[in-house]
Amino acid sequence: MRIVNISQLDEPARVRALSAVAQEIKKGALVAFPTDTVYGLLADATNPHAVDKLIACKARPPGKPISIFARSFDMLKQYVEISETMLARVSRILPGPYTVILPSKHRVDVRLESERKTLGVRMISYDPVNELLAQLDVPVTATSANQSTRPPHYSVPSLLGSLPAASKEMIDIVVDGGMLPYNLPSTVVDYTGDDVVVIRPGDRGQLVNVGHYETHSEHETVRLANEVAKRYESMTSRPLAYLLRGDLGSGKTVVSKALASAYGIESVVSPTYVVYYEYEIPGRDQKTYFVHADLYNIQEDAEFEHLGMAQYLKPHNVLCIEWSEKLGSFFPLIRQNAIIVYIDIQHVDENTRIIDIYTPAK
Amino acid sequence: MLMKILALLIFTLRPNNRIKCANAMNTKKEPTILAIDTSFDETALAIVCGRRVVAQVIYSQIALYKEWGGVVPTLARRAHEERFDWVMERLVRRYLRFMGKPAVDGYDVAQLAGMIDAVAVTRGPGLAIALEVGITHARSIADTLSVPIIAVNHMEGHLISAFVQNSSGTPSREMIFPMLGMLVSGAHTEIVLWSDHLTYTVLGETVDDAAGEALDKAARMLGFGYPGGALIERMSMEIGNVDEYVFPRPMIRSGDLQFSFSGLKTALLYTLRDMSEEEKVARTHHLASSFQAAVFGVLLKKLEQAIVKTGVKTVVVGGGVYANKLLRKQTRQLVRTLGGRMYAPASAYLYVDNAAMIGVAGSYYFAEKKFAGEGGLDRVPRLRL
Repeated sequence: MRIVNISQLDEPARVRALSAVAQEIKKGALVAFPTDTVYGLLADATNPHAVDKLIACKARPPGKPISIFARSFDMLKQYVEISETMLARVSRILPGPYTVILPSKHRVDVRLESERKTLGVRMISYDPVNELLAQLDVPVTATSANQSTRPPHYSVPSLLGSLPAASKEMIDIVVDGGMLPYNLPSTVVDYTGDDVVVIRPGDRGQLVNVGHYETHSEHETVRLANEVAKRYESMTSRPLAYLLRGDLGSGKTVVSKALASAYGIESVVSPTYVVYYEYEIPGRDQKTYFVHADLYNIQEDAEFEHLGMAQYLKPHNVLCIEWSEKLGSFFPLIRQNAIIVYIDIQHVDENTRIIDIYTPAK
Repeated sequence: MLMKILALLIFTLRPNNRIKCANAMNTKKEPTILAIDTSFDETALAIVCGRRVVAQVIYSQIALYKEWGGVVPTLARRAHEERFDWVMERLVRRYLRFMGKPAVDGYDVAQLAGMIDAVAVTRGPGLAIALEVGITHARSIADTLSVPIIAVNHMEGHLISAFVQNSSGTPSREMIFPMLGMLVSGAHTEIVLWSDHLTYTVLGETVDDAAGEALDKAARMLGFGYPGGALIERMSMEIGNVDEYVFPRPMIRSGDLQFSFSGLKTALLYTLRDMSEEEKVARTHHLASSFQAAVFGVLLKKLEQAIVKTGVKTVVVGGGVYANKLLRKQTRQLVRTLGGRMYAPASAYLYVDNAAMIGVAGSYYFAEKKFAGEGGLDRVPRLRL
């Protein structure tokens, strides 16, 4: 391991010193390097041998992605997919202490990408990193120079003092930029959004409108939802599924709470964070459940396999699902097994809602 | 910043300044508890000795997010079952190393036989299927080690987080009851009167969205992804946390201690609807900062009302939203102005889901021999304090 101290050098001298480091990176070297946040580990992101070393050095569990540094928006566009609108948003926060996650163009080692084929990119205003990038025609990895699950390092002595010998041996060069200010690690922002299969209106099959209402207050909406629940309460031969649709702020949670209330469940709160909450329906002989789900945070179809929602598709159970258009691959299972009641909510103005109830045609 | 230095200090001090853990069954000392939390998407295991955390492993999105290379793992990876053994193996290795045992080739929970007094596990609130994994494993571990099981409410864990210590017993805060707990996260927003060990009264909670959820949704509306709260904190900080838009503070005059954030979300929506795309991009920081100010404004006002109403002036804060430095600072100022004192968790990991807090809460059940009977171990996804 070679130590290159750049902390006392002026800009021209530093650029010369970094030129030698850049040459080594091109040959596959693993380099500990100061950044705007903490000491990082830099390697040629396109060189599998360099990435091998990096992963071993960090003792990084499989499946954890690693970001790259970009010098400019032009460079960023070479490695990730980004629309002009997104670019406008991203340019509001970059260069800066952020890592942006975007769909990868697969031009770096695939192990740096996430399972969802996204890549994290950092663009910072920290001279040594940008001076190094200017002398490279390849992107470099941007990951902290500590082992996974260990705290990051703000100085070279701290770094060298804590890495196990085996990890240290894998680092070819340590660039000493002195003691770094205790800046927070970057904030990671995921721009990839939702790529879940959305159920389009046509997929719902032939529907019959069994009710068209206009409500003028939250109170009226609650009363209406209560009546709807009463209407279907006796249908227990199969599980009952209320599939709610409506924009953010249209009042889906108000309707869900009212439906639950008809079953004697009063403690309903938003399940967005955990996707769904199960409530035992009171006063019944056997254990049956009211399941209140919000699919807002679902990002991919595969998630349904791990959510265990299918276990609730049993007679007497009630499912109330917000953002039901994101049911994706779980939808056919519901259509096959449950009695479905669609509740579409349209927001007209602050107090007025148009609510349509549909059931599948026979 | 202080938190960061503190966290680093704790890590650096650890190897030299450890107090060995005694086994309560043999010596009548503090109990050694193996704790499990799988309430949502973190697979967390810990071994605690009274209030001291002597080993812990979290398979976590937070660890990823803290490192600046990370990405949020998707729900697809929320399969606790797939990673439980991986986490357990590391926990056993860390604990045996802490106890000064020589390294061996493989690690398994059976190697802890005779060293653990009880298993503590989260039974709710949380995602049913995730809780189930933790409880099933708790049963089998308790069986292997022939020890009793303690069922813990995840929220008591967050409440006690400010009193969780590192392996050398830092911080050495005394627990003087009664206290008020202010728990704010992506899934919860509640004010709790904590009158004694294991005695809680929820004074107020959200009737719809949690505060953290509101912040996350606001970030999404502004065109950003996950994690919304951290992004909004950073953008607000960059413009000095100004509140230019002055969004409504929902329920601030409701007269009770309930919260509601869904109307605030709608207010932001209306503001954005009237703006052009360019304007939205140009005003992003200000919208973020004003939204955060409205959320925090409500939290602080309700806390103030709770302090005045109960006369209880010792406040403990917890939950992911309290990782926000501005909120901690504002809460501390408020509590001080009212002549009280605020305690916050001493390490970053203690704000988010972890098993250490479950173990420490469990040690108070152990002291009172309150173990989970057969029915007491069923998961309760909407369990309340």
